[in-house]
Amino acid sequence: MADQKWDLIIRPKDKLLSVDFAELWRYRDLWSLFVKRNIIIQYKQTVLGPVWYIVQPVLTVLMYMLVFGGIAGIATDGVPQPLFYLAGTCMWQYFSDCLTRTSDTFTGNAGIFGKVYFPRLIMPLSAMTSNLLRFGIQLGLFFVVYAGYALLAPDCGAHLNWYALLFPVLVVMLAGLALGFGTIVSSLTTKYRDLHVLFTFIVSLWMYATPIVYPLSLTEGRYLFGVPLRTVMSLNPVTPVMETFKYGFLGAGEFIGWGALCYSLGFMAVILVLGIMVFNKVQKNFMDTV
Amino acid sequence: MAAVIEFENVSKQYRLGLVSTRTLTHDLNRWWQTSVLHREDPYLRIGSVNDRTKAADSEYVWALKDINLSIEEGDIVGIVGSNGSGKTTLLKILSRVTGPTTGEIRMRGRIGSLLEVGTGFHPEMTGRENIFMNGAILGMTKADINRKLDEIIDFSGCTRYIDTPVKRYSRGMLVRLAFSVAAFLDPEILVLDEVLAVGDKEFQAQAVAKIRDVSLEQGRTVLFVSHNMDNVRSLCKKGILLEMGQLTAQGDINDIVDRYMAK
Repeated sequence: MADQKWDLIIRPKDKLLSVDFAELWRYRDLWSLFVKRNIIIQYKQTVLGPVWYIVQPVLTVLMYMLVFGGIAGIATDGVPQPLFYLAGTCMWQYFSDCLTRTSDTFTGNAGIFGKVYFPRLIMPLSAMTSNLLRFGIQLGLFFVVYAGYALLAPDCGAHLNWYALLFPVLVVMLAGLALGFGTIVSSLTTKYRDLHVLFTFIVSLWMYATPIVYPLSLTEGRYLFGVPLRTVMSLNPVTPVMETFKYGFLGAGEFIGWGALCYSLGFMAVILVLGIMVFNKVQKNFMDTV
Repeated sequence: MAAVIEFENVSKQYRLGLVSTRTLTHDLNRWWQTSVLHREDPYLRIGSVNDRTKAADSEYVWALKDINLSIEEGDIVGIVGSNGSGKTTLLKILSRVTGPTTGEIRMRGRIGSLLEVGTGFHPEMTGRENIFMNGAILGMTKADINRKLDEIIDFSGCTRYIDTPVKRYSRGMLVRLAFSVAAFLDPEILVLDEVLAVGDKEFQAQAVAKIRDVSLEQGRTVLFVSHNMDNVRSLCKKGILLEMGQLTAQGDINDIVDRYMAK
C-alpha cells in the first residue's frame, strides 16, 4: 500500500536531525498554557508573589558588593558596583534558569510524557518563555537603579552606547546556548543519573568561569599553566555575551569584538544541532529507561 | 471498510532488573555492533516470552511479540488479557508515548488517547483552568475548548466546583471532569485504558453511552482496554486477546471474552 494514504507511520527510529515546526505551531496553545501554568504555580500561596523576583537579585548584589567588591577588592571597570553586579546577575540568572529547567525536561516530566504524546520540545520552550517574565522584571530593576545613577550621579562612569542595540541578539544567544546544553544533559540523564549529580555543581562553577563578579579586563596579563588567562576565559561561549551586554549598557571595559561574538553564535549553532540530535534519539524510548 | 490502523510485526523489548554498569556494558556493545561493525543488534535475538509468573532466563523480555493487526474504521475493539499481557504497552506504542523495538504501525486520522485520567491536571489550578490544560495536552486548541466548554462542564456534573482548585475534588469528581474533556476531544481514533474503573454507577453508564455515541453516530474508531467484561461486552463488537505479549485471538467480542474467561 502506498505511504501517502497514511497520516502517521510509527517506526522504531526517526530521523535524527529534524524538528517538526508545523507540529510545534499546532501545539502553540499548549505552549502558552504551560507558560501561564509555570507563572501561576510560582505565585500560589505566597504573599509577596513577584516581589520575590526582585528581592533575590538585590540580596545577591549586596553580597557581591560585600565579598568581591569589599573584601576581595576586585575592580569593576570603573562602573558603580551595584550596576556592574546587577547587570551580570540578571543575565546569568536567565541563562542558568533556562539551563536547569531544560536539563530537567525528561526526568521532571516523566509523569506527563508517560501518558500522552505532544512534541516534547514544548516543555523546555515554554519554560524559557516563562523565565523571560522573571528576566524582564529583574531587568526593570536594573534600569530603575541605572536611572537613579543617571539622575543623581551623572559622572559615575556608566554610559549607554550603540552596542546596547545588540541586546535582543544576546538574549537569543543565552536562550539558545541554554537550550542546547540543557537538552543534551536532559537526554543523557534519562538512563544514567550520574550526570545529574554533577550538573547543579557545574552550573554554579560555570558562573565563576564567566565574567560576572569580575571584569574580563582583569584577566589581562595573567596566565594559567602558561596559557594567557584571557584566551582560556574566551573559550567559554557565555563570556562574549556578558561582556557585550556590560559594554553596551554600562560602557564597562571595551567591546570584546565581533570575532568573539561570532564564536559564541557558532558555538550556539553547533550545540543546538547536537542537542536536537541527542534529544530526538532519546525522546522516543526514554519512558522505558527513565 | 478501510483499515485505519495497521500493525505490522510490532514488537517491544524491555530489559529486566535495574539500570547498572551492566546496562552500560550492553549499551556500549550494542553501539559497537550496530554502529561500528554494522551488524544486527545482538540483544534483539535473545529475550524470552513475557510470562510474569516464571523466573527469567534472560535479561530481556518481549512485552509484545510480532503483533499483526488491522483495525477498520468505526470499529469498537475491546482488548482483553490478564495483568502484564501487554495491553497497555500496545496502547502506549499506538499513542506514541514509547516507540516499538521493531515493526511498524500505520494509521489515518487524529488519535486521542486516554491512558490515564487527568494527565497534566495541576492540583493548584481550578477545574476550569485544568479543562484548558488537559484539553491542550490532548491536542485541542483553545478555540476548540472554548466552543465546547459549557458542554464539558455540563457533562462532568461538576458545575458547582468548576472554579475551585482540583486539589479539593474527590477522586471520582476528578475522573468525571477528566473523562468529560476527553469525551469532547473529537479524535478520529479514541484510545481508552481502564478509564471507567472509577466513577459512580450513573457516570459509568453515562460514559459508556458517550463512547457508543461517539463510535456509532460519528463513525469514530475506539480501542478499549478494560477488565470489566460487562462493559467490554456491551460496548465492543470486536475484540482481541493478548496472552504473554502475543496476540492469540481476534474476532467477535463474545468469543474473545468467553475464551478469556475460560482460561
